Amino acid sequence: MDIQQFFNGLTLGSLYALIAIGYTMVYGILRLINFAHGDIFMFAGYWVFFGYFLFKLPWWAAAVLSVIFTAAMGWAIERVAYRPLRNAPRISLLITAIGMSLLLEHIIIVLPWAGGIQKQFPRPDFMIRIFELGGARIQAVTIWVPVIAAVCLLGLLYLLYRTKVGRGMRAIATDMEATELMGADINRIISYTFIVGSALAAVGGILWGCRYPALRFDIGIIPGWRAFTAAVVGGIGNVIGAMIGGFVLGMAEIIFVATLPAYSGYRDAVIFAILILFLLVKPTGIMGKPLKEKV
Amino acid sequence: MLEVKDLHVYYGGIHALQGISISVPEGSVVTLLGANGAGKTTTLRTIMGLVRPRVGEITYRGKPIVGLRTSRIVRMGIVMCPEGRRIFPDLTVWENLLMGCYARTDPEIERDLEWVFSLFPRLKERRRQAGGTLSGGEQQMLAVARALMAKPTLLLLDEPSLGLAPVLITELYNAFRQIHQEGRTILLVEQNARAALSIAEYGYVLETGRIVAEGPKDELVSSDLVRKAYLGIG
Ligand SMILES: Nc1ncnc2c1ncn2[C@@H]1O[C@H](COP(=O)(O)OP(=O)(O)OP(=O)(O)O)[C@@H](O)[C@H]1O
Ligand SMILES: [Mg+2]
Repeated sequence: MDIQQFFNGLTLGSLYALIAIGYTMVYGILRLINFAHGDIFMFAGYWVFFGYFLFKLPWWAAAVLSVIFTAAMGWAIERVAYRPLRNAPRISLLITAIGMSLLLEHIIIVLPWAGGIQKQFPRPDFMIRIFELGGARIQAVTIWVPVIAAVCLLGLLYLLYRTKVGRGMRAIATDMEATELMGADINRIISYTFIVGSALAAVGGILWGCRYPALRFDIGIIPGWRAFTAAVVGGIGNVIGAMIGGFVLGMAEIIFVATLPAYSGYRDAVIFAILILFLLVKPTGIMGKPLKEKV
Repeated sequence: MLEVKDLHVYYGGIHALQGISISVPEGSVVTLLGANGAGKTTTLRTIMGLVRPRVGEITYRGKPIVGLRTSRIVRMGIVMCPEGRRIFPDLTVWENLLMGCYARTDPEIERDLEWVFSLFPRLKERRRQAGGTLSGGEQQMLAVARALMAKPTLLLLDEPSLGLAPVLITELYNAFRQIHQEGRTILLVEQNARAALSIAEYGYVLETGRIVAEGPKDELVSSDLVRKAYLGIG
Protein backbone atom coordinates (compact mmCIF):
# COMPACT_ATOMS: atom_id res chain seq x y z
CA MET A 1 0.00 0.00 0.00
CA ASP A 2 1.47 3.36 -0.94
CA ILE A 3 1.30 6.59 1.03
CA GLN A 4 -1.63 7.91 -0.94
CA GLN A 5 -3.71 4.86 -0.23
CA PHE A 6 -2.75 4.92 3.41
CA PHE A 7 -4.12 8.44 3.71
CA ASN A 8 -7.22 7.48 1.75
CA GLY A 9 -7.88 4.65 4.19
CA LEU A 10 -7.21 6.87 7.17
CA THR A 11 -9.63 9.45 5.81
CA LEU A 12 -12.41 7.02 5.14
CA GLY A 13 -11.83 5.35 8.50
CA SER A 14 -12.02 8.71 10.29
CA LEU A 15 -15.32 9.47 8.58
CA TYR A 16 -16.81 6.11 9.53
CA ALA A 17 -15.56 6.55 13.09
CA LEU A 18 -17.20 9.97 13.41
CA ILE A 19 -20.55 8.56 12.29
CA ALA A 20 -20.26 5.28 14.15
CA ILE A 21 -19.98 7.02 17.52
CA GLY A 22 -23.50 8.42 17.26
CA TYR A 23 -24.91 4.96 16.55
CA THR A 24 -23.02 3.34 19.36
CA MET A 25 -23.77 5.97 22.02
CA VAL A 26 -27.49 5.94 21.34
CA TYR A 27 -27.57 2.16 21.17
CA GLY A 28 -25.64 1.94 24.42
CA ILE A 29 -28.27 3.94 26.26
CA LEU A 30 -31.59 3.25 24.54
CA ARG A 31 -30.85 -0.06 22.78
CA LEU A 32 -32.05 1.70 19.65
CA ILE A 33 -30.55 1.53 16.18
CA ASN A 34 -31.08 5.13 15.25
CA PHE A 35 -31.90 4.79 11.57
CA ALA A 36 -32.16 8.55 11.23
CA HIS A 37 -28.49 8.99 12.10
CA GLY A 38 -27.29 8.57 8.50
CA ASP A 39 -29.77 11.21 7.42
CA ILE A 40 -28.61 13.56 10.15
CA PHE A 41 -25.17 13.15 8.59
CA MET A 42 -26.63 13.91 5.15
CA PHE A 43 -28.38 17.03 6.47
CA ALA A 44 -25.10 18.49 7.71
CA GLY A 45 -23.91 18.71 4.11
CA TYR A 46 -27.08 20.53 3.15
CA TRP A 47 -26.78 23.03 5.99
CA VAL A 48 -23.37 24.04 4.63
CA PHE A 49 -24.83 24.17 1.11
CA PHE A 50 -27.68 26.45 2.22
CA GLY A 51 -25.46 28.67 4.34
CA TYR A 52 -22.88 29.08 1.61
CA PHE A 53 -25.02 29.47 -1.51
CA LEU A 54 -28.33 30.75 -0.18
CA PHE A 55 -27.18 33.00 2.64
CA LYS A 56 -23.75 33.75 1.15
CA LEU A 57 -21.96 33.04 4.41
CA PRO A 58 -18.23 32.45 4.50
CA TRP A 59 -17.51 28.72 4.25
CA TRP A 60 -16.22 28.35 7.81
CA ALA A 61 -19.31 30.12 9.19
CA ALA A 62 -21.60 27.86 7.18
CA ALA A 63 -19.71 24.85 8.52
CA VAL A 64 -19.92 25.96 12.16
CA LEU A 65 -23.62 26.75 11.83
CA SER A 66 -24.15 23.38 10.18
CA VAL A 67 -22.69 21.59 13.19
CA ILE A 68 -24.92 23.61 15.53
CA PHE A 69 -28.08 23.07 13.48
CA THR A 70 -27.40 19.38 13.01
CA ALA A 71 -26.79 18.93 16.74
CA ALA A 72 -30.07 20.75 17.38
CA MET A 73 -31.82 18.40 14.97
CA GLY A 74 -30.50 15.39 16.85
CA TRP A 75 -31.74 16.89 20.10
CA ALA A 76 -35.16 17.67 18.61
CA ILE A 77 -35.62 14.22 17.10
CA GLU A 78 -35.03 12.55 20.45
CA ARG A 79 -37.23 15.05 22.23
CA VAL A 80 -40.16 14.81 19.83
CA ALA A 81 -40.01 11.28 18.40
CA TYR A 82 -38.11 9.01 20.77
CA ARG A 83 -38.70 10.31 24.26
CA PRO A 84 -42.47 9.75 24.27
CA LEU A 85 -41.71 6.11 23.47
CA ARG A 86 -39.23 5.58 26.30
CA ASN A 87 -41.41 2.91 27.89
CA ALA A 88 -42.98 1.59 24.70
CA PRO A 89 -41.99 -1.77 23.17
CA ARG A 90 -38.63 -1.55 21.46
CA ILE A 91 -40.16 -2.30 18.05
CA SER A 92 -42.23 0.91 18.16
CA LEU A 93 -39.08 2.88 18.74
CA LEU A 94 -37.33 1.14 15.85
CA ILE A 95 -40.18 1.84 13.45
CA THR A 96 -40.27 5.46 14.56
CA ALA A 97 -36.57 5.72 13.78
CA ILE A 98 -37.15 4.34 10.29
CA GLY A 99 -39.98 6.81 9.82
CA MET A 100 -37.76 9.64 11.02
CA SER A 101 -35.13 8.60 8.48
CA LEU A 102 -37.65 8.69 5.63
CA LEU A 103 -39.01 12.00 6.84
CA LEU A 104 -35.58 13.65 6.78
CA GLU A 105 -34.85 12.33 3.30
CA HIS A 106 -38.17 13.52 1.99
CA ILE A 107 -37.78 16.95 3.50
CA ILE A 108 -34.72 17.35 1.28
CA ILE A 109 -36.57 15.96 -1.74
CA VAL A 110 -39.42 18.47 -1.48
CA LEU A 111 -37.33 21.51 -0.57
CA PRO A 112 -37.50 23.89 -3.55
CA TRP A 113 -33.79 24.84 -3.60
CA ALA A 114 -32.53 21.37 -2.94
CA GLY A 115 -34.89 19.05 -4.69
CA GLY A 116 -34.23 15.46 -5.62
CA ILE A 117 -31.49 16.46 -8.01
CA GLN A 118 -27.84 16.17 -7.17
CA LYS A 119 -26.09 19.28 -5.91
CA GLN A 120 -22.45 20.11 -5.47
CA PHE A 121 -21.10 20.53 -1.94
CA PRO A 122 -19.05 23.74 -1.70
CA ARG A 123 -15.42 22.80 -1.08
CA PRO A 124 -12.97 25.42 0.21
CA ASP A 125 -9.62 25.72 -1.57
CA PHE A 126 -7.56 24.64 1.41
CA MET A 127 -9.29 21.26 1.32
CA ILE A 128 -8.75 20.42 -2.35
CA ARG A 129 -5.19 21.65 -2.70
CA ILE A 130 -2.85 18.91 -3.88
CA PHE A 131 0.72 18.51 -2.75
CA GLU A 132 3.55 16.05 -3.05
CA LEU A 133 4.62 13.82 -0.19
CA GLY A 134 7.32 11.22 -0.70
CA GLY A 135 6.63 11.19 -4.41
CA ALA A 136 2.87 10.68 -3.97
CA ARG A 137 0.28 13.27 -4.82
CA ILE A 138 -1.88 13.88 -1.76
CA GLN A 139 -5.02 15.95 -1.56
CA ALA A 140 -5.09 18.20 1.50
CA VAL A 141 -8.48 16.83 2.54
CA THR A 142 -6.95 13.43 3.29
CA ILE A 143 -4.74 15.13 5.90
CA TRP A 144 -7.40 17.47 7.26
CA VAL A 145 -9.98 14.75 7.81
CA PRO A 146 -7.88 12.50 10.08
CA VAL A 147 -6.56 15.52 11.97
CA ILE A 148 -9.98 17.07 12.57
CA ALA A 149 -11.43 13.66 13.41
CA ALA A 150 -8.63 13.01 15.90
CA VAL A 151 -9.31 16.34 17.61
CA CYS A 152 -13.03 15.53 17.82
CA LEU A 153 -12.43 12.03 19.16
CA LEU A 154 -9.99 13.31 21.80
CA GLY A 155 -12.56 15.91 22.75
CA LEU A 156 -15.17 13.18 23.08
CA LEU A 157 -12.90 11.08 25.28
CA TYR A 158 -12.29 14.13 27.46
CA LEU A 159 -16.04 14.65 27.73
CA LEU A 160 -16.71 11.02 28.60
CA TYR A 161 -13.90 10.48 31.08
CA ARG A 162 -13.31 13.90 32.62
CA THR A 163 -16.68 15.64 32.89
CA LYS A 164 -19.75 15.08 34.97
CA VAL A 165 -22.19 14.71 32.10
CA GLY A 166 -19.77 12.31 30.41
CA ARG A 167 -19.66 10.23 33.56
CA GLY A 168 -23.44 10.29 33.50
CA MET A 169 -23.43 9.05 29.90
CA ARG A 170 -21.23 6.11 30.82
CA ALA A 171 -23.30 5.35 33.90
CA ILE A 172 -26.65 5.52 32.14
CA ALA A 173 -25.39 3.08 29.49
CA THR A 174 -24.99 0.36 32.11
CA ASP A 175 -27.92 1.16 34.39
CA MET A 176 -30.42 3.86 33.59
CA GLU A 177 -32.48 3.40 36.73
CA ALA A 178 -29.49 3.45 39.06
CA THR A 179 -28.38 6.67 37.36
CA GLU A 180 -31.82 8.10 38.01
CA LEU A 181 -31.51 7.09 41.67
CA MET A 182 -28.39 9.26 41.91
CA GLY A 183 -30.64 12.24 41.36
CA ALA A 184 -29.40 12.67 37.81
CA ASP A 185 -31.80 14.07 35.24
CA ILE A 186 -31.65 11.21 32.76
CA ASN A 187 -33.55 13.13 30.08
CA ARG A 188 -30.84 15.73 30.13
CA ILE A 189 -28.09 13.13 29.80
CA ILE A 190 -29.92 11.49 26.89
CA SER A 191 -30.35 14.87 25.21
CA TYR A 192 -26.64 15.53 25.54
CA THR A 193 -25.92 12.14 24.02
CA PHE A 194 -27.98 12.94 20.94
CA ILE A 195 -26.42 16.40 20.67
CA VAL A 196 -22.88 15.03 20.86
CA GLY A 197 -23.56 12.13 18.48
CA SER A 198 -25.23 14.42 15.95
CA ALA A 199 -22.52 17.05 16.17
CA LEU A 200 -19.89 14.42 15.42
CA ALA A 201 -21.99 13.13 12.52
CA ALA A 202 -22.19 16.73 11.29
CA VAL A 203 -18.42 17.08 11.35
CA GLY A 204 -18.31 13.77 9.48
CA GLY A 205 -20.91 14.98 6.96
CA ILE A 206 -19.07 18.21 6.25
CA LEU A 207 -15.73 16.45 5.85
CA TRP A 208 -17.40 13.79 3.71
CA GLY A 209 -18.64 16.58 1.44
CA CYS A 210 -15.11 17.92 1.11
CA ARG A 211 -13.97 14.48 0.02
CA TYR A 212 -16.99 13.32 -2.01
CA PRO A 213 -18.82 16.50 -3.00
CA ALA A 214 -21.97 14.98 -4.50
CA LEU A 215 -24.97 16.06 -2.43
CA ARG A 216 -28.26 14.21 -2.64
CA PHE A 217 -31.05 13.16 -0.29
CA ASP A 218 -29.76 9.59 -0.13
CA ILE A 219 -26.03 10.12 0.47
CA GLY A 220 -26.39 9.27 4.15
CA ILE A 221 -27.73 5.79 3.65
CA ILE A 222 -24.67 3.82 2.54
CA PRO A 223 -22.12 5.58 4.79
CA GLY A 224 -24.66 5.19 7.59
CA TRP A 225 -24.86 1.44 7.12
CA ARG A 226 -21.11 1.12 6.86
CA ALA A 227 -20.61 3.18 10.01
CA PHE A 228 -23.21 1.12 11.81
CA THR A 229 -21.32 -1.98 10.75
CA ALA A 230 -18.18 -0.36 12.14
CA ALA A 231 -19.99 0.19 15.44
CA VAL A 232 -21.00 -3.48 15.58
CA VAL A 233 -17.51 -4.67 14.63
CA GLY A 234 -16.05 -2.45 17.34
CA GLY A 235 -18.57 -3.68 19.90
CA ILE A 236 -21.87 -1.85 19.85
CA GLY A 237 -22.28 0.48 22.80
CA ASN A 238 -18.54 0.97 23.16
CA VAL A 239 -17.25 4.36 21.99
CA ILE A 240 -13.61 3.38 21.65
CA GLY A 241 -14.74 0.25 19.81
CA ALA A 242 -16.66 2.41 17.34
CA MET A 243 -13.53 4.45 16.66
CA ILE A 244 -11.45 1.33 16.08
CA GLY A 245 -14.21 -0.31 14.02
CA GLY A 246 -14.41 2.78 11.82
CA PHE A 247 -10.70 2.72 11.08
CA VAL A 248 -10.64 -1.03 10.49
CA LEU A 249 -13.48 -0.80 7.99
CA GLY A 250 -12.14 2.29 6.23
CA MET A 251 -8.71 0.74 5.81
CA ALA A 252 -10.11 -2.61 4.71
CA GLU A 253 -12.28 -0.94 2.10
CA ILE A 254 -9.41 1.10 0.64
CA ILE A 255 -7.02 -1.86 0.65
CA PHE A 256 -9.61 -3.96 -1.16
CA VAL A 257 -10.33 -1.30 -3.75
CA ALA A 258 -6.63 -0.60 -4.26
CA THR A 259 -5.57 -4.21 -4.67
CA LEU A 260 -8.54 -5.38 -6.71
CA PRO A 261 -9.70 -2.25 -8.54
CA ALA A 262 -11.73 -4.28 -11.01
CA TYR A 263 -13.90 -5.52 -8.15
CA SER A 264 -14.38 -2.19 -6.38
CA GLY A 265 -18.12 -2.55 -6.89
CA TYR A 266 -18.01 -5.34 -4.32
CA ARG A 267 -16.73 -3.14 -1.51
CA ASP A 268 -19.92 -3.47 0.48
CA ALA A 269 -19.66 -7.22 0.14
CA VAL A 270 -16.24 -6.97 1.78
CA ILE A 271 -17.58 -4.79 4.57
CA PHE A 272 -20.41 -7.16 5.30
CA ALA A 273 -18.07 -10.15 5.05
CA ILE A 274 -16.02 -8.53 7.82
CA LEU A 275 -19.19 -8.01 9.80
CA ILE A 276 -20.30 -11.62 9.41
CA LEU A 277 -16.83 -12.84 10.26
CA PHE A 278 -16.89 -10.81 13.45
CA LEU A 279 -20.37 -11.92 14.35
CA LEU A 280 -19.21 -15.51 14.01
CA VAL A 281 -15.86 -15.23 15.77
CA LYS A 282 -16.48 -12.49 18.31
CA PRO A 283 -20.16 -11.59 18.36
CA THR A 284 -19.67 -8.79 20.86
CA GLY A 285 -17.12 -6.99 18.69
CA ILE A 286 -13.54 -5.89 19.24
CA MET A 287 -14.14 -4.03 22.52
CA GLY A 288 -17.42 -5.62 23.45
CA LYS A 289 -18.33 -7.37 26.65
CA PRO A 290 -20.86 -10.17 26.80
CA LEU A 291 -24.20 -8.54 26.11
CA LYS A 292 -26.75 -8.53 28.86
CA GLU A 293 -30.33 -8.10 27.82
CA LYS A 294 -31.77 -4.95 29.35
CA VAL A 295 -34.95 -5.42 31.34
CA MET B 1 -40.64 12.74 58.46
CA LEU B 2 -41.95 10.20 55.95
CA GLU B 3 -45.59 9.17 55.99
CA VAL B 4 -46.95 6.51 53.66
CA LYS B 5 -50.74 6.19 53.75
CA ASP B 6 -52.87 3.41 52.30
CA LEU B 7 -50.60 2.69 49.35
CA HIS B 8 -51.94 0.48 46.55
CA VAL B 9 -49.60 -0.50 43.72
CA TYR B 10 -50.40 -2.70 40.74
CA TYR B 11 -48.11 -4.31 38.18
CA GLY B 12 -50.54 -4.89 35.36
CA GLY B 13 -53.11 -7.13 37.00
CA ILE B 14 -50.97 -7.98 40.04
CA HIS B 15 -52.01 -6.15 43.19
CA ALA B 16 -48.52 -5.90 44.67
CA LEU B 17 -49.19 -3.46 47.53
CA GLN B 18 -52.61 -3.69 49.12
CA GLY B 19 -52.92 -0.69 51.35
CA ILE B 20 -49.62 -0.09 53.09
CA SER B 21 -49.18 2.55 55.76
CA ILE B 22 -45.78 3.31 57.24
CA SER B 23 -44.43 6.11 59.32
CA VAL B 24 -40.75 6.99 59.67
CA PRO B 25 -40.12 9.64 62.33
CA GLU B 26 -37.18 12.02 62.00
CA GLY B 27 -33.95 10.59 63.40
CA SER B 28 -35.23 7.02 63.70
CA VAL B 29 -34.25 3.68 62.23
CA VAL B 30 -37.33 1.83 61.02
CA THR B 31 -37.24 -1.60 59.45
CA LEU B 32 -39.53 -3.27 56.96
CA LEU B 33 -39.33 -7.05 57.17
CA GLY B 34 -40.82 -9.59 54.81
CA ALA B 35 -40.20 -12.72 52.78
CA ASN B 36 -39.43 -12.84 49.05
CA GLY B 37 -42.10 -11.18 46.98
CA ALA B 38 -43.79 -9.49 49.93
CA GLY B 39 -43.55 -6.08 48.30
CA LYS B 40 -40.63 -4.51 50.16
CA THR B 41 -38.77 -3.34 47.09
CA THR B 42 -42.00 -2.15 45.53
CA THR B 43 -42.63 0.03 48.58
CA LEU B 44 -39.22 1.67 48.32
CA ARG B 45 -39.48 2.10 44.56
CA THR B 46 -42.83 3.78 44.98
CA ILE B 47 -41.38 6.18 47.54
CA MET B 48 -38.59 7.04 45.06
CA GLY B 49 -41.08 7.77 42.30
CA LEU B 50 -39.96 4.87 40.11
CA VAL B 51 -43.41 3.27 40.40
CA ARG B 52 -46.68 5.16 40.47
CA PRO B 53 -49.22 4.08 43.09
CA ARG B 54 -52.82 3.72 41.99
CA VAL B 55 -54.10 4.87 45.36
CA GLY B 56 -52.33 6.33 48.36
CA GLU B 57 -50.38 9.22 49.71
CA ILE B 58 -46.72 9.71 50.47
CA THR B 59 -45.60 12.82 52.28
CA TYR B 60 -42.07 13.86 53.16
CA ARG B 61 -41.76 16.60 55.77
CA GLY B 62 -45.39 17.39 55.16
CA LYS B 63 -45.07 17.72 51.38
CA PRO B 64 -46.78 15.21 49.08
CA ILE B 65 -44.20 13.56 46.82
CA VAL B 66 -46.32 11.18 44.72
CA GLY B 67 -45.90 12.14 41.07
CA LEU B 68 -42.62 13.98 41.53
CA ARG B 69 -39.68 12.92 39.42
CA THR B 70 -37.04 10.74 41.02
CA SER B 71 -34.32 13.34 40.55
CA ARG B 72 -36.51 15.82 42.43
CA ILE B 73 -37.13 13.38 45.28
CA VAL B 74 -33.40 12.73 45.60
CA ARG B 75 -32.73 16.44 45.80
CA MET B 76 -35.29 16.71 48.61
CA GLY B 77 -33.07 14.36 50.59
CA ILE B 78 -34.51 10.86 50.11
CA VAL B 79 -31.88 8.52 48.71
CA MET B 80 -32.21 4.83 48.03
CA CYS B 81 -29.47 2.24 48.00
CA PRO B 82 -31.07 -0.31 45.68
CA GLU B 83 -31.41 -4.05 46.02
CA GLY B 84 -28.58 -5.96 44.35
CA ARG B 85 -26.10 -3.06 44.80
CA ARG B 86 -26.48 -1.76 41.25
CA ILE B 87 -23.10 -0.06 41.25
CA PHE B 88 -21.72 1.09 37.89
CA PRO B 89 -19.35 -1.73 36.95
CA ASP B 90 -17.40 0.19 34.27
CA LEU B 91 -16.82 3.24 36.42
CA THR B 92 -14.06 3.35 39.00
CA VAL B 93 -14.88 3.36 42.71
CA TRP B 94 -14.08 7.05 42.75
CA GLU B 95 -16.35 7.75 39.78
CA ASN B 96 -19.15 5.73 41.37
CA LEU B 97 -18.91 7.98 44.41
CA LEU B 98 -18.94 11.06 42.21
CA MET B 99 -22.08 9.72 40.52
CA GLY B 100 -23.59 9.73 44.00
CA CYS B 101 -23.22 13.50 44.18
CA TYR B 102 -24.57 14.08 40.68
CA ALA B 103 -27.38 16.30 41.90
CA ARG B 104 -25.21 18.22 44.36
CA THR B 105 -23.52 21.54 43.82
CA ASP B 106 -22.51 22.42 47.37
CA PRO B 107 -18.85 22.71 48.32
CA GLU B 108 -18.89 19.99 50.98
CA ILE B 109 -18.38 17.10 48.59
CA GLU B 110 -14.70 16.73 49.56
CA ARG B 111 -15.57 16.48 53.23
CA ASP B 112 -18.23 13.84 52.57
CA LEU B 113 -15.78 11.81 50.49
CA GLU B 114 -13.41 11.81 53.47
CA TRP B 115 -16.29 10.75 55.68
CA VAL B 116 -17.36 7.77 53.54
CA PHE B 117 -13.73 6.71 53.20
CA SER B 118 -13.45 6.74 56.99
CA LEU B 119 -16.59 4.58 57.18
CA PHE B 120 -15.30 2.18 54.52
CA PRO B 121 -11.49 2.44 54.43
CA ARG B 122 -11.30 -0.41 51.93
CA LEU B 123 -12.96 1.74 49.29
CA LYS B 124 -10.19 4.29 49.59
CA GLU B 125 -7.56 1.66 48.81
CA ARG B 126 -9.55 0.60 45.75
CA ARG B 127 -10.68 3.96 44.50
CA ARG B 128 -9.02 3.61 41.10
CA GLN B 129 -10.39 0.12 40.50
CA ALA B 130 -13.42 -0.50 38.30
CA GLY B 131 -16.53 -1.06 40.43
CA GLY B 132 -17.24 -4.36 38.70
CA THR B 133 -13.98 -5.86 39.93
CA LEU B 134 -14.85 -5.42 43.61
CA SER B 135 -16.00 -8.35 45.74
CA GLY B 136 -19.67 -8.61 46.63
CA GLY B 137 -19.13 -7.14 50.08
CA GLU B 138 -17.06 -4.27 48.76
CA GLN B 139 -19.70 -3.57 46.13
CA GLN B 140 -22.33 -3.32 48.86
CA MET B 141 -20.12 -0.89 50.77
CA LEU B 142 -19.66 1.10 47.59
CA ALA B 143 -23.42 1.15 47.02
CA VAL B 144 -24.01 2.48 50.53
CA ALA B 145 -21.16 4.97 50.24
CA ARG B 146 -22.48 6.15 46.89
CA ALA B 147 -25.92 6.72 48.39
CA LEU B 148 -24.34 8.67 51.25
CA MET B 149 -22.60 10.93 48.74
CA ALA B 150 -26.04 12.11 47.68
CA LYS B 151 -26.33 13.64 51.16
CA PRO B 152 -29.49 11.86 52.29
CA THR B 153 -31.54 13.02 55.22
CA LEU B 154 -33.60 9.85 54.77
CA LEU B 155 -31.69 6.80 53.60
CA LEU B 156 -33.61 3.84 52.16
CA LEU B 157 -31.63 0.59 52.25
CA ASP B 158 -32.93 -2.41 50.32
CA GLU B 159 -31.63 -5.72 51.70
CA PRO B 160 -28.05 -4.55 52.26
CA SER B 161 -27.03 -7.80 53.98
CA LEU B 162 -28.12 -10.04 51.12
CA GLY B 163 -25.45 -12.59 50.21
CA LEU B 164 -22.85 -11.27 52.66
CA ALA B 165 -20.78 -13.24 55.18
CA PRO B 166 -21.67 -12.58 58.85
CA VAL B 167 -18.44 -10.62 59.46
CA LEU B 168 -19.26 -8.28 56.62
CA ILE B 169 -22.82 -7.86 57.82
CA THR B 170 -21.48 -6.79 61.21
CA GLU B 171 -19.10 -4.35 59.54
CA LEU B 172 -21.87 -2.91 57.39
CA TYR B 173 -24.27 -2.57 60.31
CA ASN B 174 -21.60 -0.78 62.33
CA ALA B 175 -21.43 1.69 59.49
CA PHE B 176 -25.23 2.06 59.58
CA ARG B 177 -25.02 2.85 63.31
CA GLN B 178 -22.52 5.60 62.59
CA ILE B 179 -24.61 6.93 59.75
CA HIS B 180 -27.57 7.07 62.12
CA GLN B 181 -25.49 8.81 64.79
CA GLU B 182 -24.56 11.42 62.22
CA GLY B 183 -28.23 12.38 62.29
CA ARG B 184 -29.59 10.51 59.30
CA THR B 185 -32.93 8.74 59.32
CA ILE B 186 -32.97 5.20 57.96
CA LEU B 187 -35.68 3.00 56.49
CA LEU B 188 -34.15 -0.44 56.36
CA VAL B 189 -35.65 -3.25 54.29
CA GLU B 190 -34.45 -6.69 55.28
CA GLN B 191 -35.15 -10.39 55.28
CA ASN B 192 -32.42 -10.74 57.87
CA ALA B 193 -34.62 -9.77 60.81
CA ARG B 194 -31.94 -10.45 63.40
CA ALA B 195 -29.58 -7.93 61.87
CA ALA B 196 -32.30 -5.39 61.15
CA LEU B 197 -33.79 -5.53 64.65
CA SER B 198 -30.32 -5.01 66.13
CA ILE B 199 -30.46 -1.36 65.09
CA ALA B 200 -34.10 -0.55 64.34
CA GLU B 201 -36.31 0.91 67.01
CA TYR B 202 -39.57 0.19 65.19
CA GLY B 203 -40.53 -2.38 62.60
CA TYR B 204 -43.19 -3.48 60.15
CA VAL B 205 -43.78 -6.97 58.81
CA LEU B 206 -44.99 -7.23 55.27
CA GLU B 207 -46.65 -10.29 53.77
CA THR B 208 -48.01 -10.46 50.21
CA GLY B 209 -48.58 -6.75 49.98
CA ARG B 210 -50.06 -6.20 53.44
CA ILE B 211 -48.67 -5.13 56.80
CA VAL B 212 -49.38 -8.06 59.12
CA ALA B 213 -47.54 -6.83 62.19
CA GLU B 214 -45.89 -3.69 63.46
CA GLY B 215 -44.48 -2.37 66.68
CA PRO B 216 -41.45 -1.26 68.63
CA LYS B 217 -38.44 -3.53 68.36
CA ASP B 218 -38.93 -5.31 71.71
CA GLU B 219 -42.52 -6.11 70.94
CA LEU B 220 -41.60 -7.56 67.55
CA VAL B 221 -38.73 -9.61 68.90
CA SER B 222 -41.03 -11.25 71.41
CA SER B 223 -43.99 -11.73 69.06
CA ASP B 224 -44.71 -15.26 67.89
CA LEU B 225 -44.98 -14.30 64.24
CA VAL B 226 -41.55 -12.72 64.03
CA ARG B 227 -39.92 -15.36 66.23
CA LYS B 228 -41.20 -18.19 64.05
CA ALA B 229 -40.99 -16.77 60.56
CA TYR B 230 -38.05 -14.41 60.78
CA LEU B 231 -35.87 -15.35 63.71
CA GLY B 232 -36.27 -19.10 63.38
CA ILE B 233 -37.11 -19.54 67.06
CA GLY B 234 -39.92 -21.62 68.54
N1 LIG C 1 -41.80 -5.07 37.36
C1 LIG C 1 -42.70 -5.97 37.85
N2 LIG C 1 -43.67 -6.46 37.05
C2 LIG C 1 -44.58 -7.35 37.53
N3 LIG C 1 -44.59 -7.81 38.77
C3 LIG C 1 -43.65 -7.36 39.63
C4 LIG C 1 -42.65 -6.42 39.20
N4 LIG C 1 -41.85 -6.15 40.25
C5 LIG C 1 -42.34 -6.89 41.28
N5 LIG C 1 -43.41 -7.61 40.92
C6 LIG C 1 -44.20 -8.49 41.78
O1 LIG C 1 -44.63 -7.75 42.90
C7 LIG C 1 -44.50 -8.51 44.09
C8 LIG C 1 -43.64 -7.79 45.10
O2 LIG C 1 -42.32 -7.72 44.60
P1 LIG C 1 -41.14 -7.00 45.38
O3 LIG C 1 -39.97 -7.00 44.48
O4 LIG C 1 -41.61 -5.70 45.88
O5 LIG C 1 -40.89 -7.99 46.59
P2 LIG C 1 -39.75 -7.97 47.70
O6 LIG C 1 -40.45 -7.99 49.00
O7 LIG C 1 -38.81 -6.89 47.48
O8 LIG C 1 -39.06 -9.38 47.48
P3 LIG C 1 -37.51 -9.81 47.60
O9 LIG C 1 -37.25 -10.07 49.03
O10 LIG C 1 -37.42 -11.05 46.79
O11 LIG C 1 -36.70 -8.70 47.05
C9 LIG C 1 -43.95 -9.86 43.67
O12 LIG C 1 -45.04 -10.78 43.58
C10 LIG C 1 -43.36 -9.63 42.31
O13 LIG C 1 -43.47 -10.77 41.50
MG1 LIG D 1 -36.85 -6.81 47.04
